[in-house]
Amino acid sequence: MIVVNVDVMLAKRKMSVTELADKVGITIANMSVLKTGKAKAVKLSTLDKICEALDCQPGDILEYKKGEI
Amino acid sequence: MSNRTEAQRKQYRLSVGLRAMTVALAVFAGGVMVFAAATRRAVPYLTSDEVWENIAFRCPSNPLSPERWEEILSGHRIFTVIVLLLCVAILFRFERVCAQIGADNSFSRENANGFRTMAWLALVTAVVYIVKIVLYAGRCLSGGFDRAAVVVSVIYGSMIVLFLIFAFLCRSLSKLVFNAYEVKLENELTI
Repeated sequence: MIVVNVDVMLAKRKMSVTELADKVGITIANMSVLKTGKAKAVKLSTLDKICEALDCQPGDILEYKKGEI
Repeated sequence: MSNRTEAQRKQYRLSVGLRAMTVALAVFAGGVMVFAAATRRAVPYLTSDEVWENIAFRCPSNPLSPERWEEILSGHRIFTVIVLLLCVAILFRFERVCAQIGADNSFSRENANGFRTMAWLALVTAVVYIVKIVLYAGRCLSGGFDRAAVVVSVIYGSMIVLFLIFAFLCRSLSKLVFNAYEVKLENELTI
């Protein structure tokens, strides 16, 4: 299962979830779906905007966890 | 890759559901036209003197009298009330589906369940008519088979077929709406 860990980067960049959602152009609800791992798919354009907003690499926020669905 | 294959399978199931619904709609429309035409032709023909003299047995003296109709109808009022309640339940359930559609939530689990409920109610109504026609046949065998019995039997038979077709139509619609809901959900959970 792929997990999106934005909390660490948000803390490093001193940014709130709301600010990140505004910069990426998605709703708070969708950001919550992303953070809780309920998303079925993430568009590359969304990942691109998240990395741009947090000034990080995709590997900094994506993590693979074995055995979970 | 496996997710794309799953999505393609869902789309395929959606298309099969759409085709099944088209076939069911065509059969329903055809059934209505055929049975309307058949009833319009069959009843006057089967109750005409030239045919009736050959097929009637133990016929009462005045088969189409108001007393005879009252005798036929008096035993079936409870069934009529049951059928009316089932039809009202179907309409009530459909109203809730319409409310969901009005709230821009056409493809939802609630609507899929709504159509499935309507299918079951229509099936129960058809079963009620089957029970009616079996009981009515029993009464005819003991009390006499007359022209009024022909009219009633044709009407009951038509209602059984129409409600069975309606049940199949609602079931197809339920599967279609559920598949569409799953596709919609997957799209909504794509961030």
